[in-house]
Amino acid sequence: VLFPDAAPDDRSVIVRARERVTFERQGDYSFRVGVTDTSPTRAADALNAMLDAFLASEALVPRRRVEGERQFFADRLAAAQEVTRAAAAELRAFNEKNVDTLPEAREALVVDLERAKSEVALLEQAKRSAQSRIDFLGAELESSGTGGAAPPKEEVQALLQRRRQFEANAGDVRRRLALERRKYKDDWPSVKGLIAELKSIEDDIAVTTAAIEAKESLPDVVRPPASAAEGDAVRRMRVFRAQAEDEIRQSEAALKGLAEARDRIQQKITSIPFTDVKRRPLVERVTQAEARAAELQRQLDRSESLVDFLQRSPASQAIPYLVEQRAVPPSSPSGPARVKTMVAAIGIGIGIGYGLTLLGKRFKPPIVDRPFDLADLVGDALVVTIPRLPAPSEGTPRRRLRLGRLVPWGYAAACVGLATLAWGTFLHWWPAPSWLDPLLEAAR
Amino acid sequence: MTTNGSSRRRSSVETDALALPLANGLVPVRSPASASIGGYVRLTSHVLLQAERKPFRTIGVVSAHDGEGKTTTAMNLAACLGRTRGRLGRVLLVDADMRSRTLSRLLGAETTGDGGSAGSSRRTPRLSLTDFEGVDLMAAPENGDEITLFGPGMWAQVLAALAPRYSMVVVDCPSVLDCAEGLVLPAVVDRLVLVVQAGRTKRGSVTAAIEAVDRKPVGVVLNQMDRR
Repeated sequence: VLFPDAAPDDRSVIVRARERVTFERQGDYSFRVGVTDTSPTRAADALNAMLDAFLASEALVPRRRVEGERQFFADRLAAAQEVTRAAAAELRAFNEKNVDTLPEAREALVVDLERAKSEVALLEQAKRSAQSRIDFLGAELESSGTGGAAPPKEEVQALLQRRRQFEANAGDVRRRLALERRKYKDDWPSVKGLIAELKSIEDDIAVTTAAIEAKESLPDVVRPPASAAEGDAVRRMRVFRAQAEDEIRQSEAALKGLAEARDRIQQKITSIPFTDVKRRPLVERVTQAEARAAELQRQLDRSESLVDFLQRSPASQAIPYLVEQRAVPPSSPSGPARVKTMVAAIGIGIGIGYGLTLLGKRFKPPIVDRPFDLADLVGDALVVTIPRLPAPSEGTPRRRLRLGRLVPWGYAAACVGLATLAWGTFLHWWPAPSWLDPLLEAAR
Repeated sequence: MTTNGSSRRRSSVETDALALPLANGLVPVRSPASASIGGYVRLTSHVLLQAERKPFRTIGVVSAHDGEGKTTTAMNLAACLGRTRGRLGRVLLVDADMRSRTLSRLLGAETTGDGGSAGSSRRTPRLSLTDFEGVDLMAAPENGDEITLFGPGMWAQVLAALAPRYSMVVVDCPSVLDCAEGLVLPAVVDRLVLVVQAGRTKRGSVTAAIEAVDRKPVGVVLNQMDRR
């Protein structure tokens, strides 16, 4: 309305239109709006259009406010749910990482520990039983005189047979090594392999030899069984003793595993309080995030219900403003303030003209005009003054208005005043042409 | 050298101060009670006091430029000295400005000859009576061209010959900064009076004039000062 030919998207047009709108607050509940334009009718139309748009906008304010609140709570709820998911994921990752030391696993760990302890007790009991059997059978064999701990001859023979086999293998390897060394050096892979194999066989020979020497160093207290039955009995006792010894070895192996398991369980039980301390902040965060999300959900539900109510209630769309008076075209234009503009222009012009005159006087060569102007030039000489007398035709001396001194003042005042007047006129009476927009924008 | 007397600007105020006619004849000077004569009386008394303390006979009236009131000051100073009671002898007013010869023209000395031709009378300095009480005038000699210069020796001889006959000799000198003789005359007189026109003479001109004559004046006349 204010600029019919201007583009609504032009920002400078909007700015210029806003500059022509005045807002005056009257008391706490009323206000007055005005528009300045060269056409009173156009100003009234513009103001009424603005009023209608304002009222239409204000009628939707309550619903928009509630909808804005709903959107606000929805956004906050989405953010809170995201925070909750992140905290839960972090807690879940922590639980997975420390699944064996969680407080929830304490009861199961205690049961496992007790079971391990009972199994250890059973195995130790079995071990003691086997040891007692071994002791009993050894005592029986020793008391029978048929050899308690003495190894049977066939065991020594087997060891001897085994050593001979090792020595045969070692000789074979040595021959192959000698053949290889003729062709290759010691760092050749095949030579290095034969050397390692030979060393392993020699170790086996040494172990076997030590076993044979240990067997043969036993006291020879063994006597041959007196009868076949005694021989069978001795053989069975030896078998039973070997079984008991095997049982002890198995028990010891099982005891070793069980002890390690028991220690691990015990260590887990000990770590449970520390894990609980580390997990507590995560749990609290999850709890708080869930509570926050629940609260926001309640507020969102309330906003939803309020929006539904306002959408269904026509009374809620009532205009909360009373228009006291719509705009009517004024009988006479209120502006521009020509007198004010001219007074300002003349005042500014006189001020600048006076300043220019003072500047000109300041830079003019100094003229002797009074006796004190000569004081520093003539020293202690007497200075007499001769007044200027009027010509005989002038009669009695009188004050004369020296218009010549006022000329530069008046000239400067007129120039600046006219310029200022033109400036005020340009800004207040006509809209500026579009090509001046960048300049006006820069000036603002 | 553009020292033509007709081109010299002289305001009517200058002659009105003494109410001197430009025609021939002697007319009594205006009363000393005139508004402008008080300054000349003060200057006269100052000159007399200075002469009483340290006697001298010649006093030159100089200015930086033409038209600042030298001739008026010289006439008034001579008139006041001539009216001084108790003086011993007359006062001689010397017109030393040979270019304009204003004083000679004002006081009619150009036409008062002894029967010779007017041309020859202008080339010879002559003494004549004036209308002022106790004041004689020595009209300015005419040098005839623009380049002839009267040296300080000649002026010294003239003043030395005339000074014993008068109680005081007042010399109307040419302007200091406008012609060469303005530097000669101040050198042969005993004291100087500097004339400055208020509202016209620049401070730089005053300084240049004092530096040119190389001596401090005994008195300064600030002429045509606006009373506002």
